[in-house]
Amino acid sequence: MENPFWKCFNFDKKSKENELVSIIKEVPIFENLPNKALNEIAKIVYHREYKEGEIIFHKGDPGLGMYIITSGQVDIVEDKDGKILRKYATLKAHSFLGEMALLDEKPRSATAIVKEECEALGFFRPDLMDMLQKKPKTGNIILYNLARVIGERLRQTNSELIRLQTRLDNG
Amino acid sequence: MDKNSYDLSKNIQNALWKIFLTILGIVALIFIFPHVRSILMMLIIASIFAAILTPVVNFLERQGVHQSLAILINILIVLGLIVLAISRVIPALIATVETLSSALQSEYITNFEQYIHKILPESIDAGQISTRIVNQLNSLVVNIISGLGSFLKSVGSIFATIAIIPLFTFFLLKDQRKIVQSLVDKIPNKYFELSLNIIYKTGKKISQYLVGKIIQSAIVAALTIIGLLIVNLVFDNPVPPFILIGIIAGLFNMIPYVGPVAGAIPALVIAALNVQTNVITVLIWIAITFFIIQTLDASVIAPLVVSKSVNLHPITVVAVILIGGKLAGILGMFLAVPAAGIIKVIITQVSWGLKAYHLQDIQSPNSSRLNT
Repeated sequence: MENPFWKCFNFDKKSKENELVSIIKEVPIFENLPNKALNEIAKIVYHREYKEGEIIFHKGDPGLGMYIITSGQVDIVEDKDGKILRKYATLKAHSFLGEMALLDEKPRSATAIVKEECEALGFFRPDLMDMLQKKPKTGNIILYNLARVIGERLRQTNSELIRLQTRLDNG
Repeated sequence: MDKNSYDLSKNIQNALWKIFLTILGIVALIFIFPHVRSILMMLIIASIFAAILTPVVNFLERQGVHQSLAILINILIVLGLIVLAISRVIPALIATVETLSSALQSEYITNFEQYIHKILPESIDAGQISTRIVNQLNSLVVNIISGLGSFLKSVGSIFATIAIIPLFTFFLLKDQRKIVQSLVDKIPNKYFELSLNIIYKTGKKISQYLVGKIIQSAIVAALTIIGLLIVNLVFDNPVPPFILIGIIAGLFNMIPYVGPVAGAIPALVIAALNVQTNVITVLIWIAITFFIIQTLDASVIAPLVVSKSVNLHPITVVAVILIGGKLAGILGMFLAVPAAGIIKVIITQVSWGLKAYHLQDIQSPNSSRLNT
């Protein structure tokens, strides 16, 4: 059995980093990055553990960055005065959320609340900006991937809009 | 034993070990504190250096220089500048005081004292004014030099200070991210993003503010040197130690409102004692030079290089200078305004964060009926 005393000193750092790299490279935003760059990203992400019902971010909060869910489930909802009004989606392990905040500090468009105890990795805008200046090659690949992801989402939104418009037109 | 109860006992064990180690750490800190005071002082000084050097290190990294090498280059340059300043400024200061002392014992001053003695025989003895001023000047130089020595001694032994502060600065710059990560790790999820945003913004603003202040002082020092050089060329060298006076004016400029006036006084005093004819004209031109530099500083330099968000109210400036002086003498007076600026940045960012972020809890999705 793993001794909790030694766990406090965090000796298994290298294996943790390798584990993070294997999670990160599955995320579309970090596609096509060399291992060296993935290792650098593993060093700058923040690992968080959330209990059921905890808020990852609120609608209206200044956006700071994105989260990658490594385990558990997260609901994307609209809430008002502490009550959930509508649920938009449930995200599972290896999904990511809040990626728009990598571009600017505009307020979050929805609330992310933990549905099932989860672990997540946070990747934040100031670190991306720093990377763009210090490691422009890596930063540009991330930005290109981000543009692809957002473009794909826009395409989906457009087709959804057309589908709804058609339904409305047909009565 | 089922899985849930096994997890619970493991979690309790982890929590107990953490509490035990934290208490052990606190007890150890209480016992060790008197012995580590000097190390804490070194850490504070190293943190200030790290905050100032961060943008420069970042700039070098952007040019492709490896981080460790960029930090090393910066620390060596700063050490070189400090050594150069000590080896040049202190001898120049002593030379200036000697010049002033001899000027004070000149015929001009003696005649003036005799004149005052004639008019008011009870008030003053001949030679008393110059003797007093010379004594004050000598004690000022002794105070500055001994103050520097005792400051280094208060930090630790001089050798340890010179060796350890750069080492601390190196690791603070190299492991900045790890330090932030370990700090943020302990913050509850509810306040995580708020705290991280505040840390990012505060760090950036403090660095901008300190670097802005240094650039502003350097420009003011350079302009003062150029201005006094022109005055020297036009009026037969009324302020011989113009480089030293420029550096002093630049340093005093760190202190708003009070600094610019204090920076002009040495130049005016030296010129008054040095010039035999047209004293008033020379003094007016020196005053005009300082006025032009201060106008340029207030209207062009400061708005361009120093963050507006750190503007302090004049009453606050005077109050913090007095407090700084009371706590740590001349050095405290110099550090008081930047320290107040840093505190203002932190308070501004924390209050922004508390207003911008929603911190209320909401009903768990599993316990509520959702409209999907």
